[in-house]
Amino acid sequence: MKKRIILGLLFDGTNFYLSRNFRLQKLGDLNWLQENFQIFDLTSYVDEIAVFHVQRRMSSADFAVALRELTRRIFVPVSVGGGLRDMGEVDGMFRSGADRLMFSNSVWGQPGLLRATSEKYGEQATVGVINFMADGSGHTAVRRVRDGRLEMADIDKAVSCVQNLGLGEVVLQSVDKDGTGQGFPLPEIHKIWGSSNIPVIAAGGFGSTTHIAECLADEHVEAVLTSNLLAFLGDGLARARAQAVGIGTDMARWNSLETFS
Amino acid sequence: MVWAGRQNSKWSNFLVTVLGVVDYGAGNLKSVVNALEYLGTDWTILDSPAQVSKYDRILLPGVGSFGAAMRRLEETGLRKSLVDAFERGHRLMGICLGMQLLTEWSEESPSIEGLGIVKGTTVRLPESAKTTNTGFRRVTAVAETWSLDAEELSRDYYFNHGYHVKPSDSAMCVGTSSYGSKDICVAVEFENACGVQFHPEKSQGQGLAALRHFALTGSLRL
Repeated sequence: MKKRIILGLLFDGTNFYLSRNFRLQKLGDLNWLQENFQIFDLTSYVDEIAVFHVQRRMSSADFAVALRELTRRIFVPVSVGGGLRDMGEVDGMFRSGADRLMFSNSVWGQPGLLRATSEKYGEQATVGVINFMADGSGHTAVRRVRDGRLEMADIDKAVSCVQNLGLGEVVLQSVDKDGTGQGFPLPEIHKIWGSSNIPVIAAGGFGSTTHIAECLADEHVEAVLTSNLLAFLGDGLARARAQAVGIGTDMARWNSLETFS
Repeated sequence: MVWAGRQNSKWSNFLVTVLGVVDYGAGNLKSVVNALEYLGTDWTILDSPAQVSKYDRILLPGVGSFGAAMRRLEETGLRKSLVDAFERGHRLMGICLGMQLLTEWSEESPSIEGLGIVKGTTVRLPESAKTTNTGFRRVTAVAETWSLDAEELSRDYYFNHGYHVKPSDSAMCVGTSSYGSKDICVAVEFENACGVQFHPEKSQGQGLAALRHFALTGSLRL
């Protein structure tokens, strides 16, 4: 099976952000991102884009308009996540360029919404997100928002809950490593996910091409997701891709879009 | 609703050679339209039965579940118009779920009939592998086809599905891909209909090439 590199974009509908331990730092708008990061060129090196609606100052409808503009020139799959509340918003995202939707807090708070999304768009179009971290007593827990409150929850119950929902894939996101560039805590995946046959996307902590290549080489990992734009400026993701291939990981190859321009 | 790119309405009374893209209320329509825009292809959204008969080439895109999509096609009358268009020789291409809808039925929604244009069924991906097949996969052409260039078919394309098409006659299968330890059919052709399980609109340059090839095919296969 070919492994994937997913580029995460933290987007409020106007501006893009970096994240460190889930604290956001504003970068700039799409023009700024294109000027400084050549964001549309970056999509040539990745298998997928994941857009997370952060801050939630913008209505879902307005965010959908912004998403439509962002995805106009992206010809890889786009997954979208962040605070979706009802099927109206779900439909809006699919009609605005989303190919899949990512759900985190809805997994616990609104399982009905996930089931309805799966029923209408297929289970392959729904992705669960588990944000995990150390709970201070040496154990791993889930960080989640429920009824408007941030709480830590039992990781095994969370995993069981996600598995029972029949989702297409699951993102295991390390809160502790998020934005640190220290590498993804790979052993955690083995502990958390065990032998589940739901494909896993590892997220959080990637700071070098080696981090990405080594994580992709793990048999439990289907894809890696990084939103750390600063760590992979220029051809960083292309190099990560080449490094993964160099250690025997099967990655997709594709034709340039330049043929059509 | 008239939603079109680069289409001239003077053609409204004739069989037009622009591409009609079926909107059945689910699916990644915007992604397909983005790709067609990028390619500079003429296209029109088809969301009523009367429109379908006017289009020589018809694209049935898809992200969604089989049952919900078929119900929508039934409610809007698009089901009958698509089958009629196929029988009159219009060229039809299904993408992902759109390919599955061409078959007679699916294990995903066993009580609901498909379009029945391609004889065969849509079945769950083989057990023992992952629950869904997501990502770029190598596709191997197993036959020459009018709908997709054989050279273009032997490349990596993006897949995202939990079910796949099993045509009743293996000769209808024109492209395969490995899944687990098995080869599954991922491209079918039957008379003037074809389908691909992958998403050409999401498969970088080679996907756009495949889409353009279909969009530019001008004559019907006899």
